[in-house]
Amino acid sequence: MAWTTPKTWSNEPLVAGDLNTHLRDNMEALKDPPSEQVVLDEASNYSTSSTVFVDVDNTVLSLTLETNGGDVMVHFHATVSMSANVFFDVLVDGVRTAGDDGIAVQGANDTTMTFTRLITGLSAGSHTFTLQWKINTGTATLYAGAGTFNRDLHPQFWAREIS
Amino acid sequence: MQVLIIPRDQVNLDALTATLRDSLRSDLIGVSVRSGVIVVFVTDTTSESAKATVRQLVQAHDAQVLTPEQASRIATRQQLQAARANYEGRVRLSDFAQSDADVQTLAGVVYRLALEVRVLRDAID
Repeated sequence: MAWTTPKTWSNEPLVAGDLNTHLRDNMEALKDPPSEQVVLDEASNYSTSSTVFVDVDNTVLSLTLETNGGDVMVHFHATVSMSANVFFDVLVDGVRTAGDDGIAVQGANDTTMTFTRLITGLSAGSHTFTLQWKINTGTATLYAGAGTFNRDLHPQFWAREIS
Repeated sequence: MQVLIIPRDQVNLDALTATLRDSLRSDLIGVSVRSGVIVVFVTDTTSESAKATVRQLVQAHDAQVLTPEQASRIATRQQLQAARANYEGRVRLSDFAQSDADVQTLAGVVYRLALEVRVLRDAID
C-alpha cells in the first residue's frame, strides 16, 4: 500500500473517499511498510579472498524495495571466520553507502558480525540494497546454514523503510 | 570489474586464489565461493584469453592440494599433537626443590607458561 501525503482539511465535508485514502490507506501503509528480508539456509557457506569490496551474493543477498521516499534501515547479522580482517558494506543502487573500509570490520575468528545502517536521502521509487565484503589478506568465511558442525548458523539481511 | 561465475564444487580457496594470482597477477581482484559456483573478480582490462585461462585453471583446480602455508600449518599442528603425547606430564615444582636456583627459576617459568597455555586453551575450547 503506497503512502499518500495527508490532505489538509478546511471546512469541506468528510467523505468516504478521502477518509479511505488519507486515513485508512495511510494507516495500512504505516502498518506494512516496504520491507524485504532473507535468512540464509544455503547448501554451502560463503567465502572470499577479495581485497576489494565485492558482492557476497548478488542474487540472494540483494534486496529491492519500492519506497515512498523515506529513510531505509538495513540490518545484517552473521558469524564469520577469517584469517585476518573482514569488512562489510552495503551497496545502495550500485553505490557503497559507507565508502572507505565500509560499515564494520571483524578480526577475530568465529565471531558475530552485526550492523544496522540508516540509509537517508532516498527518493521515492525502487532501491536495491546489496551486501558486500572484502578481506585484507587471506580468506574469510560467512557461515550460511550449510550444515557445518557447530556452525550451522543462519544469518539474516533485511531492509525496511521506516519513515 | 568483470565477474566470472564458474560452476564448481569442492574448492580450496587459498590454493585457488594463489594459482589465479600467479597467472593473472594484478588483474585478479579476488575470488569468492558460494553454493555450487566460484566467482572470480578481475579488472576491466583483463583480456578474453586471460579469462579463458581462468576458466581452465578453475576447472583443473584440485581442492585436495594444499598451499605451502596450509601444509605448514598442518605440520605444526601434528608436531604439537606429538609433543603433547610425548610430554603430557605436568611440571611439579616439588621435583625441582633440590635443584640449582637457576633450574628452579626455569622450572617455575615453565610451570607458569604451562598454566597460562592451559587457561588459553580452555577459553578457546
